[in-house]
Amino acid sequence: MSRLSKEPTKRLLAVHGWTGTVLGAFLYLIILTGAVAVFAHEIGVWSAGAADEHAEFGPGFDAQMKTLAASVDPAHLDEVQFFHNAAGQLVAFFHSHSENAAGQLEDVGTRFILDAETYKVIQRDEGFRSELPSDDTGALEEFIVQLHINLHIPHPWGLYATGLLGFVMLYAAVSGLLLHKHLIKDIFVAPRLSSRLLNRRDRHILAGSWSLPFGFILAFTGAFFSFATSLGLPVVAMVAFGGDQEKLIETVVGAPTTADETPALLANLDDVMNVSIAEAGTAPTFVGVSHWGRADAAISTFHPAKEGALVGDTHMFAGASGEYQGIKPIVGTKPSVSGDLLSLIGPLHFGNFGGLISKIVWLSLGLASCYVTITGLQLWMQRREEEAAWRWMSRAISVTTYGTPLALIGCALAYFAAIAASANASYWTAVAFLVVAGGAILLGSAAPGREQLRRWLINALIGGLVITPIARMILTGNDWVQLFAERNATVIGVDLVLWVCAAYLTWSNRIARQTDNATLAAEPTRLAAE
Amino acid sequence: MTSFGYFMLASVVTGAALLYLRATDSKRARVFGQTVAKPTKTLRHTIGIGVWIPGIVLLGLRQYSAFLSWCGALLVFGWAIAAMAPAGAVETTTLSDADGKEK
Repeated sequence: MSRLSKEPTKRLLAVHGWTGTVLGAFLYLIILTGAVAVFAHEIGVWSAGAADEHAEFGPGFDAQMKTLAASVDPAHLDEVQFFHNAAGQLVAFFHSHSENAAGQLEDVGTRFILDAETYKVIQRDEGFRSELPSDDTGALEEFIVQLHINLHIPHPWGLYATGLLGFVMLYAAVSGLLLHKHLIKDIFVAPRLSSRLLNRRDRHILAGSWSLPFGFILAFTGAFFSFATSLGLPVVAMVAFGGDQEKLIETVVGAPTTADETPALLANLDDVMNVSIAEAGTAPTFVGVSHWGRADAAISTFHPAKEGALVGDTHMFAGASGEYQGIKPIVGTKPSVSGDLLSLIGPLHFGNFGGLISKIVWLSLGLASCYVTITGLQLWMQRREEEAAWRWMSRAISVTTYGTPLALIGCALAYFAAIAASANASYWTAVAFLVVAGGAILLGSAAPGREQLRRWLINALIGGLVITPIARMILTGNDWVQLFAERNATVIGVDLVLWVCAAYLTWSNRIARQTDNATLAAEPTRLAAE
Repeated sequence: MTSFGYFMLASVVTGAALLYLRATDSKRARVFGQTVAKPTKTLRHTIGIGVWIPGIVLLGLRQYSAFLSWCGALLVFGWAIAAMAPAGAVETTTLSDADGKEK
């Protein structure tokens, strides 16, 4: 397929291999956490032990929110957000924007956590957003998502790092395409068994060939998300708007309505919800109100995609009259092709457009990309395993491959233990990741041999996968009898998935050992034939 | 029909086409020392095109969600069936393949 001559091919292969070797571990971490984060919502529900379906913004919402609005500092009515947390509780954040102690503009206001059905206040906190007590119900989900988005590196450096890794993945996909001479011819050729090196090469190429289109999409959309806000917007503002970010935002988002501070009652939110559901075809997942209690108030409702569609919509209402104003385009004030293209980036990256099916497919594709990364690293190492300087890499690959999911399992266990002990779950989830990852690294240097290390790590991972659902049941008291009675499929489903993963890992480990033995047994015969 | 129904129908058709293409792939058979009944070039090309037909139909029906899920499922299923070595296969590849040379 590729028509590259020998020298450029050699150079391309060297860059392909070296970039993969230097950044492969980080790339694997980003792809694996991204694949897991496809099920972020389910992980949130599972960790919080919440019901499958939570109440939407139903009857009584208007009355209770207006009562709450009357109880907060009027300065906090500038912006209001309503959404549900991982436990299915309703979060209402009445806030404005002010300079914090560090001199940076930040949301400051009053946050309520309420029962989503009765609207009874569970918790009330005031202050800057970063100072509010963390809402621990979503700590595990949040940790995994942020690890994928920015590796928990402070803004904007974390986004730069993950954006760069997106470009590395894009380069690996493009160079892989150019390097593979028989992409179409070999598309159905199973990995050959005649030598271990050939087998590894075939496995890498075959998985890479099939996951190539997804690799492009994932890398491009991921890099876009990382760089769009951290670098793209400021650069565009500088180039096209002479550095005027306000002018840029006005062009992209639309000019703000003329300010009118005349006091005015907010329209009935229950009626607004009914109209928005009728217009969108789905219940809103996020509601925002700006300038609550003023004549220029505006209400926006965000709705997930309806059956068969890819993208959800934001619907706009006049705050004072409740009059429906239509769908808010993602870019500018009128529908456009660029807006449509931009709106596709999210579903293409998150895979959350088609319910469970699209999520399973996206998870599988993510795991295929993980497989390509790891087999690529193994291939690079195997070609150099005779060199003493490279022997450490074999251990590093095992530590990365099995240590990363092991650390994520450690996070889940620490989360449940922290919740049971009423400790700070966000803190202990992060600590557990570092401790388990550190433990895997120590094991990597202490193991007598690389095969022994691999076995230890796999056994630890299998053990972790088996123990986690049991630990969840014991620490939260939320067992299957209760879950069946509540018809909670998500929590039972995630427990089952962990056990299925443990069973698959046990089985695939046995098969891998048999394949390795077969290729090793075949080698003397093949060499004799040569 | 629901989006899931469209997805399943399209995936079954594409999956069957992919299985046929794998079963009649001459290079795969040669590498693993098997003989396959060689279909006519036209038939193989027709089945090859048939892999994509369900996707085009989904686009025509504006079933975008089912279309994207189908695209992903095609890649995962294709990889899964290609990665499986034929049962009882005897490998005939020699070391020259390790250097990327065709026999």
